[in-house]
Amino acid sequence: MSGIKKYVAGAAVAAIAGGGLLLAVPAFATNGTAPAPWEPDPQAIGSVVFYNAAGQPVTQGNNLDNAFAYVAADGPVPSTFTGATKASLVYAFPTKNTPTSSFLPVARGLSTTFPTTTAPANINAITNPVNTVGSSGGSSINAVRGNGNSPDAGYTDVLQVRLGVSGSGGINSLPSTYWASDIQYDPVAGTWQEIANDDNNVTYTALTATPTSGPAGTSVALHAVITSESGAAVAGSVQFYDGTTAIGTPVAVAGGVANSSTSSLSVATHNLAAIFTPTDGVANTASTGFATETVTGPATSTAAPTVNPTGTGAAGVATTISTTVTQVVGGAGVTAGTVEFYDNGISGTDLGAGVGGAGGVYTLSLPSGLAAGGHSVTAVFTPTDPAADAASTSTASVFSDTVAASGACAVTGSNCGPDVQDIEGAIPVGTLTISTPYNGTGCAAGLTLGTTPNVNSATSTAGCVGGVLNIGTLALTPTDTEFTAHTTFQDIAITDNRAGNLPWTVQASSSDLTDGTGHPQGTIDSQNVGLTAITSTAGTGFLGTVTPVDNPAAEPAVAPGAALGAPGKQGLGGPTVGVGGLAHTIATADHGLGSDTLNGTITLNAPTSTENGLFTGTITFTVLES
Amino acid sequence: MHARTIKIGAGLVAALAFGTLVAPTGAFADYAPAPKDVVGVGSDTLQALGDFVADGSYTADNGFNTAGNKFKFISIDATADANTRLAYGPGGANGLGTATTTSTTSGGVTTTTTTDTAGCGAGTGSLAGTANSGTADTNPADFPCVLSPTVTLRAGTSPEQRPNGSGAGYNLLKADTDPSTGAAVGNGNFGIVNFSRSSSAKNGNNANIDSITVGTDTLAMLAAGGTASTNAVPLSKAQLKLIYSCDPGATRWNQVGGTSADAIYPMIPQVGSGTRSTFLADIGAPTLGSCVHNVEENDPQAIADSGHVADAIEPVSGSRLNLFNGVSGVASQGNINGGFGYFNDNTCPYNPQISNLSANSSQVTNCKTTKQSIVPQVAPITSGSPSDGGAVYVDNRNLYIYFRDADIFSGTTWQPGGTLNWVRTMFYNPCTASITSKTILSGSAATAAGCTIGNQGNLVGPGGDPYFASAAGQQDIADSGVTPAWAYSPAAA
Repeated sequence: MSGIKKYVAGAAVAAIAGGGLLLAVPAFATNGTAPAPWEPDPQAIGSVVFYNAAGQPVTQGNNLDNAFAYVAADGPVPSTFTGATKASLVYAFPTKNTPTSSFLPVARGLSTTFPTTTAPANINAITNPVNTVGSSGGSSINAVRGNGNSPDAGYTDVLQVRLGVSGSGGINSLPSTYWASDIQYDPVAGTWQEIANDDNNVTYTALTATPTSGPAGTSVALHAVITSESGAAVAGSVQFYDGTTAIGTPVAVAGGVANSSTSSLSVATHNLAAIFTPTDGVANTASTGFATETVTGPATSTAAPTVNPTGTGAAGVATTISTTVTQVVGGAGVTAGTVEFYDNGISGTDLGAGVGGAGGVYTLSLPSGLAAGGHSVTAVFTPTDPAADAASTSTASVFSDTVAASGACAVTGSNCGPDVQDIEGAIPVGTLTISTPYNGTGCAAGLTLGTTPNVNSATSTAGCVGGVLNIGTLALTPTDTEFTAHTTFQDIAITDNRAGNLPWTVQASSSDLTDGTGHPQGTIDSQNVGLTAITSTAGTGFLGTVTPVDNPAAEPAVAPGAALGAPGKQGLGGPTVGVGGLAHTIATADHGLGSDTLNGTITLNAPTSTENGLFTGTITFTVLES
Repeated sequence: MHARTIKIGAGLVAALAFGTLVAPTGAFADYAPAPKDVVGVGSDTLQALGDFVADGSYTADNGFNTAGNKFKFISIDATADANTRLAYGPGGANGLGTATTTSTTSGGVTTTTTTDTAGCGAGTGSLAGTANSGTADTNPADFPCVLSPTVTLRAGTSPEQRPNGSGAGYNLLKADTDPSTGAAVGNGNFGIVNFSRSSSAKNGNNANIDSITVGTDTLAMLAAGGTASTNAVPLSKAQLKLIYSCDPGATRWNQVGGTSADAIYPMIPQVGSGTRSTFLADIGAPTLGSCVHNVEENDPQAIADSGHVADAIEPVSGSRLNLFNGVSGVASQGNINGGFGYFNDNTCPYNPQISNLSANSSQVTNCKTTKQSIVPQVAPITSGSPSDGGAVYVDNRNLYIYFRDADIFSGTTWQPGGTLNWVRTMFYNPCTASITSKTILSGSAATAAGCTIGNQGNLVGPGGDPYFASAAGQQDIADSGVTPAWAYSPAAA
């Protein structure tokens, strides 16, 4: 055999992720490595190359009914068969302990003329023998695989694919002269892949496109990974394709990968391909990887909703929410679609659909307005025709509504809130502190003083440190399920001088705590801050009854950005970051006249995935007149 | 004495040169089948079909045996001639002896009568047992004096009479079948023969024998055509019955819708031809009159040889004509051999060595082009309106392969390392859970068993299409000039 490169056995390559088609290289039971024991086949004068219907070289696939569309010899017709005009396929079933000349041959497909004229251009250009496999079901791998029954151990479901040539006047290379390659198939998974014979090192190409879908204009990263059955790196280049249109020029393979990108894919679903051509095409096979890319209509932008009115006195008052949807490129308003407004996330409250108007403006009217408390409103745009416009979601508009100040709260000199308190905490190795009373300006007399947490030490003293409440250094629970710490939250002082001895309600909401790094694990979700065991110490003239409300921290600790838990499992938290989260009632008084001081137990939990550091945040307190 | 006209046969055909061009896996006519080869006999109309399916065609399409399987598919020719011509004894078709020919003319019609006292020599003719008799058989009913060529059906056995024709083949298959069990008898219960070829359905089917339809062949009346002119016109079955009865009202073309006053020259293939028997049955089994001329079967040159080119007609197998013209049985494929037919000029030696030929320059000239061409040209009459209002005679007849029902479900796998028995490999592979199961599966049970949709669009059992149903098998059939098909028919109850 000419042009044969001796196969060098190597470690089997591990399964490659991505691309959707690549299979783990088979581990053969006999000796653990390919090629098959009957290789080299003394009857074979070369190998075959498999091509799909698009004319791309394939070394694997996931369709056993139509595994490949064309099979070509890797060399020309030898002089002994000069005048051959047709090529045909024979599937040979390996039979245990027999030479290849005794394999069971099964041939059901046509002898077809070569060169081809109606195949893809690169197939038509092949001068070596080519068989057009055809799609008649009866001769597929799936159909014929039931023929063989006594393969070598470890080589069940392996076929030798033979290509012979014939010509008028009785010219025929079969049965004993042919080009051949070996394939292994999985009848359950419906997949096949070429395995090495003694002639070729088989390569496999996996292609991933990132992202897998996006609006027109999105830059799609193309990443091809080339592996080979011998395990050795194979030099060559990769040409990327959108269907049959080349994307850029061939990219040299470095370290087994080749990258490219494109941002000019049209709105459609694209069959992308990466064809690997080895530098040494005699020793190695070519191969193709496939990925699917869905390109939707041009990007749109949905503006953060405009809510009117918000803030003090806006609760319960007729409110309008509006947004504008525009094309990212050009800025034109998009009217072909619908907008839905949500409060506290898409899985939160569906406020309703906006009514579309000119210029891409969508407006929702809420005659009864929004409830008092924190809100986070987003708008989600769904296009009528995804091919014309992409979907988009706005960022959140975060605000807090309160009932209009009236009575004593409206009187100059009253301060019903919001009263923003700074808190902080730390994760070991490290400390967590919360500062109280905790407005950052120092610790008033009577406050339990704490120490500033050190991130490198396992403990710290909870208490006020420089105006910040140090909750302490969080420790792992005995079952190692989360970090936790708690301390007393002192001196939430309410002083009430209203006429009428009216009730009051104290609410609190916590922000997320962050260590300032911006890392995903550098945030503790606000729902992990709990305030419980509120006690009331009556002060001067206070005769009311205080009913405390426990707001336990979320148990177990929730990850950053977690969806809002059920009531009672939200801690003091909410879906927003920063001031204006969900307000949680911590205590009510039936008759608020006088002074009252609340103390409570503040608890901070954190997931075990939280990174070490000093975490700081704020709790916002508000007193309401009812 | 029996008065009739008879065409003189080709004389003694001895030492026939079998095989055409040597092919590495060609049909070795001297090959005696091995015990596990699958062997079939029968109709001459399917002779080329069987040859091509077995070993590939002359247009480089592979046959079943090309891939190199250990046990072969063998289709034994109907006649001892690869051109499917009959062979005759020493006296030719007329036998030994004297023949007296007289001619009378009445009403412008010339009737030639031959009185012969000839007899078929021992071992020739259709009377059984004459090889052991010492005297000639003078019974004209046993004419023509065909040679009854023999063939070795299995290696190690003595030569047997070669079954020629649908009936002879079917009868041998039936004789080799146990009537109560339906199993094969000879060759160690594998069967001396395994299948028969047939150009007609067998009436009163044996309940043990099934068939597949493998194609259609158009039987029609052949006349001069193309560049040669003919007086023939489209004829109906009724008109043909009258013509072949030599009815006085149907002896001239102008009596049956033609314009010429010439006498019709009706010809019919020799006894033993499937075409002959089908044609006679089609037109109502007339008693043949003396105006009918027997001709060599499967030979379109009969028109030229008749001496009455413009008036001669004979029923012809369309697929046979396609073979002569090198045309596929699939009309859209047209010419498949560059405009040349399948047959060579059988009077020229292989690869004529011009210098060795006689100094007769016409021999040199004639053999420079070895492909046989039909001169003058002929064409079948397949359309038009007969003058009696009947439909033009065209018989699109089915071609069949008969085989034992028991062999479909045989547990004996055929090829080494294989899972299928020979029927499932070649003819019919129903979707069953195992090769011995008789329960046909469908739906999810079929998929679970490994059945798939085959080339014909139907469910086939594990292992895929039988060869005859596959794209390769169907193309082999088309190359033989037959319009390919595949359909299974169980035996009539």
